Amino acid sequence: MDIRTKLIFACVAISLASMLFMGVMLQHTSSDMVRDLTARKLDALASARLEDIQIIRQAWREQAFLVTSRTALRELVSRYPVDPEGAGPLVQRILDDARSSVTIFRRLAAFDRNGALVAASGDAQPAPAIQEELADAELEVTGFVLGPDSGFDAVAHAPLDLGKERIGQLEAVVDTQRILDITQNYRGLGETGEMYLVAELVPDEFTVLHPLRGSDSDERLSVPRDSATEIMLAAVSGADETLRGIVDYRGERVWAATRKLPNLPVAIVVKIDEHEELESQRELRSRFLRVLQSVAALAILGGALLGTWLARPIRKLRDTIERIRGGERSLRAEVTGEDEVSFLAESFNELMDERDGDKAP
Amino acid sequence: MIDPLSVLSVVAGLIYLVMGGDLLIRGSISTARRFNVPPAVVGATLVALGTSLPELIVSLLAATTDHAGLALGNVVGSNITNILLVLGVPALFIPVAGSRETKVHLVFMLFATLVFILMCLLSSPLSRIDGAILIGVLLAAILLSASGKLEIIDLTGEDVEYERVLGMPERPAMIAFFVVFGAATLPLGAQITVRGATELAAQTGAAESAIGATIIALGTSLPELIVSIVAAMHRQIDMAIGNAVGSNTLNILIVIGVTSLVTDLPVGPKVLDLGIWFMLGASLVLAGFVLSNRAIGRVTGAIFLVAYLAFVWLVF
Repeated sequence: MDIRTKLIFACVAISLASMLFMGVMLQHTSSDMVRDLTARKLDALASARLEDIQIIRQAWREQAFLVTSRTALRELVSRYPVDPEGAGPLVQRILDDARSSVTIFRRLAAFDRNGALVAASGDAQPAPAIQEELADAELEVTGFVLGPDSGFDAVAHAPLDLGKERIGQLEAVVDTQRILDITQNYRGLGETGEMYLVAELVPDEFTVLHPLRGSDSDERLSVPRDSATEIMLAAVSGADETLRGIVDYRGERVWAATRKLPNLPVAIVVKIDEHEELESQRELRSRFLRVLQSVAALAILGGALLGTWLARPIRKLRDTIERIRGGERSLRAEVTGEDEVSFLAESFNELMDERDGDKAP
Repeated sequence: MIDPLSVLSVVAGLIYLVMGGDLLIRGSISTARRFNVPPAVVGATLVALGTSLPELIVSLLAATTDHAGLALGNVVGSNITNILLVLGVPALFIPVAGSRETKVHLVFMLFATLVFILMCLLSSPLSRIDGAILIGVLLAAILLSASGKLEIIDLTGEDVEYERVLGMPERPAMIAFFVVFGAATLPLGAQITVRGATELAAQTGAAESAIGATIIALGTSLPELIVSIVAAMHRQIDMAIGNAVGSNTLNILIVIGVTSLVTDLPVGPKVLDLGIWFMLGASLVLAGFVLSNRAIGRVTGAIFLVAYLAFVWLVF
């Protein structure tokens, strides 16, 4: 085999071996890096969405305060047990007026201190029962009403106080479109990622409150605790953790982050399919392989050039020998540099001089 | 935006192609010699195939993976590059003239070129029938040349050159290594080249045939270009025209012949409206010089170079 080819193989072998070592290291590091980045992304998305929902809840409270702070309403509700005929229609008018000015309320209802309905405005389905305990003077979401069209409404209650005396409470059924807009915003979740709200509305049964991106069915997903996925169990238990490589409701392996809403049996799940997340890792590996191929090719080029350069004086020496054999006996090899080939050329010239000397008369 | 990895892929793929072709041919020639195959047969088969092997593998892979534009562009661009660049650049250093034998080879190249152009004009996409005609012409030319009746393709000398410059493997294990390594490297090189080229076409918005006719063609002709420049610098340029003529003839007959035998080759507008006419023009100008016994001088070399740049500019 000629020097050039030997050098090509040597360069390719060395470059492949070193790149392979680098590749293994890079694969290991990038794998950990991608996992960390994904976990952070999911955590950040879950936290951000939780904050968004909390902001919406705060907006509901402020809107409800505009209703509960009306002195006329509170006085009329206080008067209702003794003058139902006089106070009831006036409360009705106030609630109608409030609903027409604040569109998020799909139903407003006022109850007196005995729990009797004073008046109600709106046609949304009412809550099953009024709340006995209300901690402060703010509206609190106390439950959810599932709509027939896979949507849902939030049910909230706020106390009605007159001075220091509790004289009743306000019930509001709130439109949750803004929450749906958030849960169905898949930005940052790639092709397969989704976010959903899962709730334990009745004991030992988990219900997803809205349609799912990854489900072909329009029906609401509702599963008993026994059949619930690991994600749902972790979410509703309030674990607030990041889960990797677990199976979701479609049977796909996913990575997920969960956040529980404060004071409610509802949690946010943000998840992405494992195969999509590993795609970037595969892409990185593929690009590295292409770089490896290219470096090996450049090593071939380097080996070829180096080999040609190294073999040049040897070829010249061979040419000289052939020309001497052809009859040009006075010709001598060119001696340039101080490497092995030039020593060889020098020795060859000395040999030829000695032979010519021997043949001289 | 152009991804540097795509450019690197094209360069790397071309290096693999040239190296793979070199190793496979050297290994194959050594194998043939071990089995006492007559040199004429070796010349008519392995050496003839060897000069067009990179183009053949790239074109085959491109055509069978829905990138037929690359395949035809590569051949047409390669033939243009072989004349305008591979002969134009050394002519800037030293006059480039053809030998007496070259005249016959050149007439045959013109014949092959005209047959190919007629096929492009009359029967797009090029089909199995066109492929069979081209391969038939090649076989006839090989038989005629090998029998010594009329040498219309140069089938001699190349193997000697291989041995002289590169050295041939002697031991059976080394011969097997050359053949296996070369055979494995060729498709790898073609795959890397085609991938890089199609990515470049997508990134730049250029037609695949334009990438094939310029970047890939230049890449596959680069070894010949370097050899001819080095030869010109050493004032030993006798073989340049003969090599270009032989390479162009075999590009058409082997590469287009085999590729269109395997799959239909649609002729894209870049090839039909520009490529084949540039190729014909360059071939006729070269024929004018060779048949009138005139050397390609410095001025003509410069004109060839400008014409090549104009082709690249027009094709994009």
